[in-house]
Amino acid sequence: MKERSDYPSKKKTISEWVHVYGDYLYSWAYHKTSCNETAEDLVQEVYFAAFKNYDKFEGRSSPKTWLLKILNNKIIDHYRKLSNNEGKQEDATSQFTDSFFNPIGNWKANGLEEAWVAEEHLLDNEAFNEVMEICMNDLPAKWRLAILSKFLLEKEAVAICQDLDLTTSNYWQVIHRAKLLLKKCLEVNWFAKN
Amino acid sequence: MEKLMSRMLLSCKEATFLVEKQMESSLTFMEKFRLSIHLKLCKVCSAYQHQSETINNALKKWTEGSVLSKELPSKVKSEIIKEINR
Repeated sequence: MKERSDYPSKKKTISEWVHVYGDYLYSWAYHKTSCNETAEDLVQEVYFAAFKNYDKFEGRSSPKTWLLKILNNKIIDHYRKLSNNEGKQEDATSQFTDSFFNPIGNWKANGLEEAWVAEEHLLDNEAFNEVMEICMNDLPAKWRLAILSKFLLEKEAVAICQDLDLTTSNYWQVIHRAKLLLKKCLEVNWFAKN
Repeated sequence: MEKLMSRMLLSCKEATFLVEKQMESSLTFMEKFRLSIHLKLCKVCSAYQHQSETINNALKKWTEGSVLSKELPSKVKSEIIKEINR
């Protein structure tokens, strides 16, 4: 009976949330996926999930925080689906990061080492953060998934390994390769140009 | 001697792997020892350690997101609202 009397207000509340938080969630999703359509789909899914699980929202956090948490999990699911269909891109990119080293595993000089200078306010630079975003979205889906689980969901390595069905040493390898690729991408697209 | 040295010393690939691992988890005594020697001898890897921290900070900043605002198309908004109120 209670559920029934709550029903109209649930519809009303969530409809309001669409107006209040829709743009925010959409911007967030867009910057994590670089795709308008994907971001639209994810935001729709968030509101449908919020509608379905409204009872679990007890007002302990703000609606914004709650919706964002749902969205972050949807983003991770999105990359999980992508990474299942990936395979080849990951292999090719692993070969690419391996090529940064010579056969005995030492750095091949690329002339860009010097380009990394201490820029004090680097992270406050919008243009740098845009390049960072492009580099992130260039990672193979599985690597991006590992990085996002770590930074977006703030999960510990052990939990990420369970989620992604990785051994710990595979996980470190993924993180290592992802970081090597990000470093390279930033060198080419930022440090060498500035 | 050279063989012994190469067994003792890490390659740059191994050293940067341990740099990543160390940021989140602990290394064994031997790993720590070998990494610290490598970092003392190798400028590129000790630079890598710093770069890697910078990248982590940039990733944190990016995921916490001071994101440029975009508008969810009003068509999508009304679709969601319509679906919810069905």
